Amino acid sequence: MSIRRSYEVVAANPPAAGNPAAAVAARSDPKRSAGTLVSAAIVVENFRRLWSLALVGLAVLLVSGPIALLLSSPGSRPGMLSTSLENANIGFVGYLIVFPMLIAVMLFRYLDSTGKTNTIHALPITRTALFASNMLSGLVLVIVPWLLLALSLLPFVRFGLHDFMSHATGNNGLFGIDYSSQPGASPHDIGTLLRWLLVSVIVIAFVYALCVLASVITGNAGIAFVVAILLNIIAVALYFIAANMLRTFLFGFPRVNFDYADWLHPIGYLVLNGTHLDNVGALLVFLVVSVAAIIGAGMLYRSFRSERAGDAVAFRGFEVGVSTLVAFLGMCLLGFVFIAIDSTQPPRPSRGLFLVGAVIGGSVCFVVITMMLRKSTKIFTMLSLRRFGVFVVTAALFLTMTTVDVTGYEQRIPSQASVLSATANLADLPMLPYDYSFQGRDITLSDSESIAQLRALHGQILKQRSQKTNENSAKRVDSDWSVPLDIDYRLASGFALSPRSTLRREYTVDGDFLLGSEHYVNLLNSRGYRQANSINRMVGYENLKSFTVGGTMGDSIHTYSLDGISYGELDFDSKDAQTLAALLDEDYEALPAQSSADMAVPDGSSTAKTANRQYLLGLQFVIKNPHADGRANDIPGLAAEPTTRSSAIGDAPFEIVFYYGVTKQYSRSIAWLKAKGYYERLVKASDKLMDAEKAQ
Amino acid sequence: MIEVKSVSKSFDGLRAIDNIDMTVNSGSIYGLVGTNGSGKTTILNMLCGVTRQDTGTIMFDGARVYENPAIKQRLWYIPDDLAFYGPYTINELARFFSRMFPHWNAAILDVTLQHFQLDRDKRISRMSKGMRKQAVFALGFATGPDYLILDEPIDGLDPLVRQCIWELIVDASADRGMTTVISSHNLREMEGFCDSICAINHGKVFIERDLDDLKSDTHKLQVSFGSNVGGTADKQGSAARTGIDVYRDLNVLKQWSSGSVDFLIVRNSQQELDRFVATAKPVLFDRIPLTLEEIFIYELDRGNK
Repeated sequence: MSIRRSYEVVAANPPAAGNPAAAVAARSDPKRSAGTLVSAAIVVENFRRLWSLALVGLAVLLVSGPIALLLSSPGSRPGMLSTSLENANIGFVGYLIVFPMLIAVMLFRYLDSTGKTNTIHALPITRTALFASNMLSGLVLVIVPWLLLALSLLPFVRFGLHDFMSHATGNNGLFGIDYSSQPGASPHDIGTLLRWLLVSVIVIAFVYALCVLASVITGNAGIAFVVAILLNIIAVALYFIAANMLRTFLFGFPRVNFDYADWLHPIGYLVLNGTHLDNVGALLVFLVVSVAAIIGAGMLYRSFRSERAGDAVAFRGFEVGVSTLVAFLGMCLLGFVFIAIDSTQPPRPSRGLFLVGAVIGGSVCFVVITMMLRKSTKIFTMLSLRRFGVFVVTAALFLTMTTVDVTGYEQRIPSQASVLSATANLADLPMLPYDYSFQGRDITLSDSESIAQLRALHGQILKQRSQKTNENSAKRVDSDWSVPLDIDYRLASGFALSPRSTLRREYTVDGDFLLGSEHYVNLLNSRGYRQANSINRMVGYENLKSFTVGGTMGDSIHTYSLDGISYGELDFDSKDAQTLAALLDEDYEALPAQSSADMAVPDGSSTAKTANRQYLLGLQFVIKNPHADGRANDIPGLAAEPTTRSSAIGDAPFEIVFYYGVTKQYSRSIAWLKAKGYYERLVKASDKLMDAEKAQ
Repeated sequence: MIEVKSVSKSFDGLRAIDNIDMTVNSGSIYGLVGTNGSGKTTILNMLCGVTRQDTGTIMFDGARVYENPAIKQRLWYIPDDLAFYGPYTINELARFFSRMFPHWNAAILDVTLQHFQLDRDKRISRMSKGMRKQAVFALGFATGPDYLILDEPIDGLDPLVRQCIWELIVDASADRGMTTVISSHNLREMEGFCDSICAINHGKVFIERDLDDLKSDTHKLQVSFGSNVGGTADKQGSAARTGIDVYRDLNVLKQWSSGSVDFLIVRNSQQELDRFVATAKPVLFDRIPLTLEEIFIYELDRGNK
């Protein structure tokens, strides 16, 4: 039978067509677009093509999660569950980063080929529906394994929703996990699982949305991965690069901190907060960005020109953006590398050296990325030159803004009248009365005298730095140690919408310079400083548990066995501790103006460098702490970890302590000690302790 | 009917299609011919709604095609590059297209595959070039298209396969009024099957006519007025011999001579030629039929000059 005859037979017995209603509608009204928002055919086909990838992803999750939990010992299971439910699990994080990228690139890989693109775009589906179908099927492929993982973790959690709104505890490290705790039974319930699921889905959506955008922008599978990574890291990279540049080249610019990492990327959010809902604002921002990225990708897809299929970047404008960004990152990285490997290590990083590295890094990276985008080594054309010009202008602007003080930032000190209060970490030198006990702790000054002295010290630091710049930069500054000095001014800004503002500067200054600074010494002698530095303000009398004799190295009679002195002989109870502390504060506030030598702590070295003739004895105060393992509770002024702890002898527990150096000028305290009969024992023990420390 | 009006398209500043007009009647087979890089594929991409034109309109039965799934459901496009189909088997593609096209007819596919003797479970990429095109044709016919857009679909196929495919196209046009637009370099083959021809050069249309009209109006003539009495043997052509342009009433596309015989390519009707013969009274007048290829070459040559 000829094929024509066969067709006639078939035509005489027509089977049911695919969609008769749509067929009739389409024939009767060709003007009407019969498209829907999502095409089931495309979705089903994507599932058919990529289900095996999703299966691999699911396997990774199950092995990292419930299977690992089942194989672990019952004792370690709660800790492992905590780790997993904060996404501190390497398999989970790997999935969150890699799989959305993989699926997005695979879905839009056809844009790499003109033939494939033309065939698909000739199908009876609008561009919007095609994009939406691809995007949604990818989202399902990435999220379903995660949902199945959630179901598989159900048997490991308790019933209840109490943990849904829990916050990361105060002692937590990475991923919001309290590593110092010893969890017994798992505190996690279905609420934990739901919160973990919510945060994880937001992370997935964010990464996936940016990867979809990258896939549409590039239309090229290889470059898509590069651009996807770029889009994901760009906010983080720009923030840290800019912050590091400013910190490196602007004197006083605050150190780069990770406090804002949870705003920059969902992975940063996980690192800081785990899956706790501690920063709902950031989560909402991620959602908004995800939606915006998807909408942007959809709009770009609609205008995708099939003749650009196969190009490295489908949209000419983005080619400029991608090459500029990559060149910019390379420029900054190599600039920093050049500074880091500078062996002479002058007082400040060399701006010239940085610029040399920047020029080399920027040029090389620009050439390499352009070759990748053009898929050719022949890139030295006028067009490339113009684009390089765009990059050079952008880079020059950035470098000028970040390496040169064009706004007078460095020299800015607020006026006395505008300062409401000032906070500074003034405890980083070995000074009485606390030595290093409260190292890193900030002291807040609100009286005009101490603020004036702080401002004067600030001015002196700036002047000292400008003097150093006039010296031969090859000459090393002969300083034994440097200390951080961070100053925060709280200002009355005078703006209706923002009645308060702050000005923060962070310096690293020579210890010798500070000790020799008249303004620093005047500040420590100021009434406002002494009040802020009192035991009551730092710790609170009610938190004092006991006191004993103490050494500057954090030692006490619990550390050394002192001849003729028994362990219980010099342990005094909380009532005595609180009484003595009050007297010490009175004496401290009433002290006459001290020189830096008067405030120096005997350093316990065999050659006592700073002998303080006024020094009498050292005390160690123990703070009440409900936690037997030595974690600090939330005591005002003790926000940082204490630098000293008493070590346990026998079964003695770990405790939070601080040192207090008493001089001969503490008349009231000395009188009280004598009246109680403690004085002789304490002085004797203190001397023996100092000898023991010197002998070490 | 497909109507293309005042359509232009540029790529990166290069004018690829320059203000073209085309009309494809329903049920006809419309041949699109042109030199390499003339813009044929671009036109076909615009007809399929793959690429949007910069200016002008492209209408299928009064409806635009770009972003119009209702029209695209009735349209089947076979590009030159079949990369999309490579990773799939015929069965997989059949399942996919059956969901995409409401007029899908599995029985048609079965009949066609049986006729072509194709393995449904074999990956398209593992088939020969000819078999790939057969497979794509089979899938296309199963969608029951009203419009078939083909970009060099039969180039490189063996004669038997080409014959079969032309049969399918011609029969579909005749039986159910399927409209076909086909581009090819094989003008001899197009001549045998196309109803209309559109020839393109540098993005412009220089021929768009019914094939019969085109061939009936363009002729190759052999004309001689005999040797000039007393004339010099080295003078060629009637003008040289007679001193006047006897062909001034003809639309001469090309002219050359060999001895006393003039060869001309003219575009005139039969009546005009009869009038010329009656007036000029040549000694020798022969009309030789032209092939489409010859017409194309001569028209192209004239256009380039």
